[in-house]
Amino acid sequence: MFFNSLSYLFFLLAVAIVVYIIPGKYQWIWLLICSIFFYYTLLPTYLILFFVLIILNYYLGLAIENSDIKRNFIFILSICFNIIILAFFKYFGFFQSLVIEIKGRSVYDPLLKIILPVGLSFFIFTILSYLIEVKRGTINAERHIGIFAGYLLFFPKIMQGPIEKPGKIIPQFREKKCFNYELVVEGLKLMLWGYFKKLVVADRLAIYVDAVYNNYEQHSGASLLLATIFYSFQIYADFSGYTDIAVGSAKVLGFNLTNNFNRPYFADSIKEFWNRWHITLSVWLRDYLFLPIAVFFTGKIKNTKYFGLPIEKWIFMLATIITFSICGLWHGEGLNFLIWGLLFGIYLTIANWSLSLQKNIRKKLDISKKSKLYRVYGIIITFLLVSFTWIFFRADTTRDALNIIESILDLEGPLFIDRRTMVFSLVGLVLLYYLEAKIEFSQSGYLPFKTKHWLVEHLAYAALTMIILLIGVFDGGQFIYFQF
Amino acid sequence: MENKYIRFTAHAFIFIALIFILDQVLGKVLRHFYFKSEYGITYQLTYSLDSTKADVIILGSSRANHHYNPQIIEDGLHMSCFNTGMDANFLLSCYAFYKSLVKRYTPPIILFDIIPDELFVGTWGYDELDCLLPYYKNKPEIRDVVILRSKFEKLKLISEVYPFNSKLLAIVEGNIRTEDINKSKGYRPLYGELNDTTIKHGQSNGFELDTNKIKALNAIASDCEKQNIMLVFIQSPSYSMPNQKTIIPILNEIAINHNAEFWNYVNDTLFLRPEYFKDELHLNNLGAHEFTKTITNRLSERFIFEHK
Repeated sequence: MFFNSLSYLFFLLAVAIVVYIIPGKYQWIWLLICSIFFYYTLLPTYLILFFVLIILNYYLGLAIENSDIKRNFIFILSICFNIIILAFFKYFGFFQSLVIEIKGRSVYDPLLKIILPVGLSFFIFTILSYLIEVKRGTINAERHIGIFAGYLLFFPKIMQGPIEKPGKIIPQFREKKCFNYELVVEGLKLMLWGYFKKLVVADRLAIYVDAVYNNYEQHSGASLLLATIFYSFQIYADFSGYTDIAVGSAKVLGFNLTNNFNRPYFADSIKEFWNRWHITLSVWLRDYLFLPIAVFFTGKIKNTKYFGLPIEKWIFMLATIITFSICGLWHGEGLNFLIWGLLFGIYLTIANWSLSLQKNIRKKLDISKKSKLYRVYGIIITFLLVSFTWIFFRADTTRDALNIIESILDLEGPLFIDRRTMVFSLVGLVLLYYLEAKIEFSQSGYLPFKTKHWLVEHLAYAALTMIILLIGVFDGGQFIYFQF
Repeated sequence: MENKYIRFTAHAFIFIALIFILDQVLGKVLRHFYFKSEYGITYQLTYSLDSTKADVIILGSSRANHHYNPQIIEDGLHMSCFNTGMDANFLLSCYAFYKSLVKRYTPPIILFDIIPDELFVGTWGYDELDCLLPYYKNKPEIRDVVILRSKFEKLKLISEVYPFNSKLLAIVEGNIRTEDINKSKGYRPLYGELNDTTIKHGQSNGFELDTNKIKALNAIASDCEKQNIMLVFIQSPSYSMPNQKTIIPILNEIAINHNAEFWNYVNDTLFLRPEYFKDELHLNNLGAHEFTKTITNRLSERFIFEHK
């Protein structure tokens, strides 16, 4: 049962009806049962792994909180344990293929094939967040194993996040869920907006992107360039569409999850981009990796200049590179994902190191940082830099990515035209960006169609439904981040 | 009932009513223009399902459409011929086509072009039934095939707009351009030659067979036998060597059981020439010309033999 299926809508309806009928003290049980059922429909075999992880981490959380002497030891042990589990499932295939290559076996043994359980990366990062927060003392270890399981398995976020911090979600499981008209309606609107992004924009663009990227040797540089730009929009519409459906579903059930996206392609710098893209992962990386690394080195290294740069610039570089390398590896085992992460690390380091240079240039050219022109320039440059990184993200291997870049730089050959896909994609993209620009510049939250009259708003959402029916792709693929 | 529930129900009702009205109006407009199309795929599809009364009918996908020139068959057999083949019109769609055709009349000959791999599970056929969605409402005979598309297809088809999903451009084009379908008779030739002349070897053997597709093939063959229609399953040439260990015995068995024919040209070296192909799977106009001549001659011989 996937978010982009009718089965899911029926499931959500049933969950919502029951959750508002039953007494508050049983609501968490119902939500837990539904979450287990939801995951069961996806990959039943791995439910047992999730149960084991829940039980172990429940006790590890309590042990971290209660032990005085071995607190650090238990904490490090629990972090390592979870990372090893994730690494095993994430990189087993990679190491296995290496062994097969070394041994020269040509036949892949399917019995040895281990697939990554859906949502495990998000699940483990949520657990790590819980353990770190318990260790830091910002929250108490959860005493109720049922609520702890509900927090980790909550079906709207199990597959692709948001990676929620425990302090935000666990208390919501304790609250009695009463039918909140505003919250439910907001959730439904958000879901519809998410379906528009996924079915009309992402899955339509995917047709062109897949056709070009899956046979990149047959396509010209112009087609690869267009496909790369399309992919930038596809991955945004796909992942933010998923998040809208997830957050919307949670709202329908009376929960508030974190919105993972804040119109990232309106960012005018890479730093700003990461404040708007996959926000919960960015916050996770900042709070649990970047800042601890930076603090660690600040305390260890003498405050002086190296190669003419102050030490904090070097520490920033080190912490950024390490953080984004891990971010890249979290996405996948290939070298291409590592390069994708490193590129962001490099972008941010250059931006940080050249702050005074940028200031001087602006001063000489008499350009204000707040001018509209400068913002537009920043948005375009940021988009191009981010799109370049997506080549490594979308290509199957680093070699493929480099070949694609070489072809793009050539820009020779005819443009591959798929008229229907291109026309419908452009219609969807124009509509998406028109509505997002309106939200961005009016700072009116995250939903389109905010009007004073409810009937006009209803009509706008009904028209959006018609657009989905008319040009949406109903036999499209799975969400991109599903594989992570 | 509490106030908030009443408010929610009222707004939900108004929203659903708005969707219903928009869906009905837009759907009716789309339906009107869809069936008014006089150009392109939509026109050919409607003509194939509603109008053609040709003696020889060619069923199949893009390979059928680009491989059989009806004019050559008409000239050779002195019978009318129409090519209903279309891109992505795979076996299940052909079954629906067949049901719709025989409801109107009984064509004496049906040439059914089959792609070697399409009988397997997980290959094409289900999503591609979308081309028949606009006809679901008016053609009860094809409904049982169309609903194979997905678990909730019947429910989705409550919408008037859904059947025209992704068809807007075709509808617009079909209403601003015209074509003489009696001239082309459905055939759309391909031009150009193969660039990569390496012959690829298929590895499809061993996949699971799709029972729906096998049932559809049997149903067509059995019905043709009853209605005394000469049915020929044809695997037209391709510039590759697909593995056919599974499919040949099945097609042979169905043909023998139902007094039909199975002609296999996939690995025929006579056609394994780069100048006959546009790409690995499709003959160009020259290739189609040669292939249709071969088929026509074989059909003629068959008639002479039967006549004697």
